[in-house]
Amino acid sequence: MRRLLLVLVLTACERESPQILLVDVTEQAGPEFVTSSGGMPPRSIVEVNGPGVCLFDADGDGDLDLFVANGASPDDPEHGPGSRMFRNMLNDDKTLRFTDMTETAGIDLQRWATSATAADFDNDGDDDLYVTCIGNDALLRNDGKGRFTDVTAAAGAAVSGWSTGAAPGDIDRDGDLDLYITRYVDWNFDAPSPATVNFRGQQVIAGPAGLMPLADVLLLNRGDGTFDQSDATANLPAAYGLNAVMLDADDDDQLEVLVGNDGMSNQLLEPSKGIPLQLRDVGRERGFATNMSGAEQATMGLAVGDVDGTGTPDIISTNFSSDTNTLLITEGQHFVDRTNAMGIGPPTRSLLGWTTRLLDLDHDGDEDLLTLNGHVYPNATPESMASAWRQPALIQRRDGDRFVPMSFETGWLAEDRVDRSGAFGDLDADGDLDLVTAELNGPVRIIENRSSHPDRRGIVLDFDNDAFMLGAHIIIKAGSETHHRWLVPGTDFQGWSAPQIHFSVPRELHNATITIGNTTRQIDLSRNPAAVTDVKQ
Amino acid sequence: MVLTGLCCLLMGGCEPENPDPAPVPAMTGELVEHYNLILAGQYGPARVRLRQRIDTAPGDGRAHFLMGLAHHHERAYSKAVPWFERALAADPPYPPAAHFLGWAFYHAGDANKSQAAFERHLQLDPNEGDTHFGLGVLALERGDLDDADAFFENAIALQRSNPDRRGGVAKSLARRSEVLEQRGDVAGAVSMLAEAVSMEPDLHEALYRQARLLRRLGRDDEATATEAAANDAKARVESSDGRPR
Repeated sequence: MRRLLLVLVLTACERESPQILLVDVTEQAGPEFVTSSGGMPPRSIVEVNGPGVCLFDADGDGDLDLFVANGASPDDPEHGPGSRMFRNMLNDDKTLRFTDMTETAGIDLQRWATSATAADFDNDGDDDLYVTCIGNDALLRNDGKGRFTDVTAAAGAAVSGWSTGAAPGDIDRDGDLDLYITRYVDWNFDAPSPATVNFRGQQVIAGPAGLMPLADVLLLNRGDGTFDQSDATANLPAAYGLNAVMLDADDDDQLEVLVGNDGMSNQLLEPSKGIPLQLRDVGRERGFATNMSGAEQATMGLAVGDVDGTGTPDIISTNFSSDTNTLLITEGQHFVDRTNAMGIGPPTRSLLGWTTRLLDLDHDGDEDLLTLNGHVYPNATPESMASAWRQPALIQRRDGDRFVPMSFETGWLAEDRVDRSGAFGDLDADGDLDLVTAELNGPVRIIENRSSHPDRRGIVLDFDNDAFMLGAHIIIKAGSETHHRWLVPGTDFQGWSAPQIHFSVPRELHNATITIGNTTRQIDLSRNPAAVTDVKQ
Repeated sequence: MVLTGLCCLLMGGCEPENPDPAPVPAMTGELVEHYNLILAGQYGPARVRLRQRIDTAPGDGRAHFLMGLAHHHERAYSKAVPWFERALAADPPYPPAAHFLGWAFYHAGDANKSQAAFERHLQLDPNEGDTHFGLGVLALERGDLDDADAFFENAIALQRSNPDRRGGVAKSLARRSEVLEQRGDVAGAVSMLAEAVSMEPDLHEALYRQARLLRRLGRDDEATATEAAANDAKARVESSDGRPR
């Protein structure tokens, strides 16, 4: 039985009132890197989704490093500027600095990449990388010291076509990590792009409607990091897949696959009980497929959290402009649309959302919502499409039963950008979640979380990206408070967050318990850092 | 104040503040032709003609309203707003512009201005059911179930006797069902949705909602049939998530 390391970090600063402060520290911390995704402005749909970012401990030194899945150009999609790995040089004074380690990591991936998933596929105790691409995906095996070897062909992981994301989880319950890979459209770089279409009087980029959708792929792990392609998805229709996550959505001790599709019904795929494994889409009958009006939405990002305080996972999806982001609350086996009832919808109508995350930004005990935004049409303006090309990130602060939009006058939160992917993690080990963002054909940014609360402190717990933990329901009891979290790092659009959970507690509290499955352990909140326990027994 | 006025209007017993709608100048002459162009989806040609009209008669609130309507029908809501505002500022004003201004602000994402515009229209015309409906939608979105219920009830009462407003009654019933559902009366919501779709069978959103509620009640066979009806209705009525098809 392997041991789980729980790293406990306490916040130190104090202010008089709860404050949300997210600061762009890229200029000081690096990386100095601008992503590629075709031309700017984009002229075809292949150029609009942008890059992916992935946070994980690549070199085993205990801090979070950064992988950027970078694109290329339609003229030469196999030979772009290449994906990059950046080492976190975090030092004792907790100053952030990222340096390029691509070469020393042995990474030479110039193909158009879209996202990366970090997980221990070969069960050797370190995180490998599965990189989705337009073209063959790549599986890069980690030697534990941050050197990677391309084992794609030998591992049977050469999924072709336009892949957009890979969700790991032990779907067949045999103790290793399988992979559900979402794929988008059947794109041929050698064929001319489809003509533009008219949208509200404007000529805009065509697709995905009118283009052939690609069926998703399920890879089943043989136990050693090599895979067999499963027939379990054979009966599922092809869809414009953009995002997937493995999660036990209905508390039956079995992971399901939640798939976000673009302009088509989202899917809730339930595994069969018997052998061979089959996945059945129960999205419509359980209310997951559409919003409450039956509208198929253009789902980019997913967020998971206990929004209604019932201890079950609720889902938020980001969607197209002139539509709203959607909040689905679990009620037994059903999802109930509470988008408007909880204030999620109206502030998002003018935005086109991508990465989204529920997190306790202000350390007040409940989870707020952060969303990265930006349109796909360069000619989008408030006048022509009721939505702009460049858009700010949105924070909706949890206030009682509602989410309340916040506005900011200065700083990163006030700036308009064309953001896409994001990943969250405690980059500077100070007890809150920072984030990395990737703008379309723009910089990768390091956003440091300097939020604070006068009476409470943040706690971050580290876990492993393995078959035991990914998708797990984690319950923390601290004093009179109970926090429910799910370890689902892959919900971010084309992003992979660190395998961490964050919660906050009153400053005077010194003990808490953590429960995963049938195992409960104590956490010593007074130690900084580190509390070590074993929750896998 | 508005809600109080509405209660007086519907319940009786006190004198409404403004019982009579403000006069609406009639569309006449070439304006009728321009309006028909808009209804036919010929927004550009309509705007060219309306521009000429406005150049010769800059104070005609009706022309400003139609210019806004041409943008509104094209879902260019921010462009529609200044034209509706000019229609209201004209002498005489064109009162329906306040109603459309409410929807334009709503779709442009400004709930506060939408609310103000709808309330202004209620002062000009307390009997427009769709304005009550708009205020009900806004109340629903800000979580004020009591206000939402009252506005939807008004919308239904004001339109129920008008055969041309069956669609307005149906969508008001459909949205009012959300109030019931959020208050925990799922069965009542199902009944209200059934009434809505009996009046307007193409209301596929209401059918979907009904199907989902039936599933929550464990009435799976009815839910399956209702979902099939929703799919049929959706096929009849082109629906969009806002993206080009």
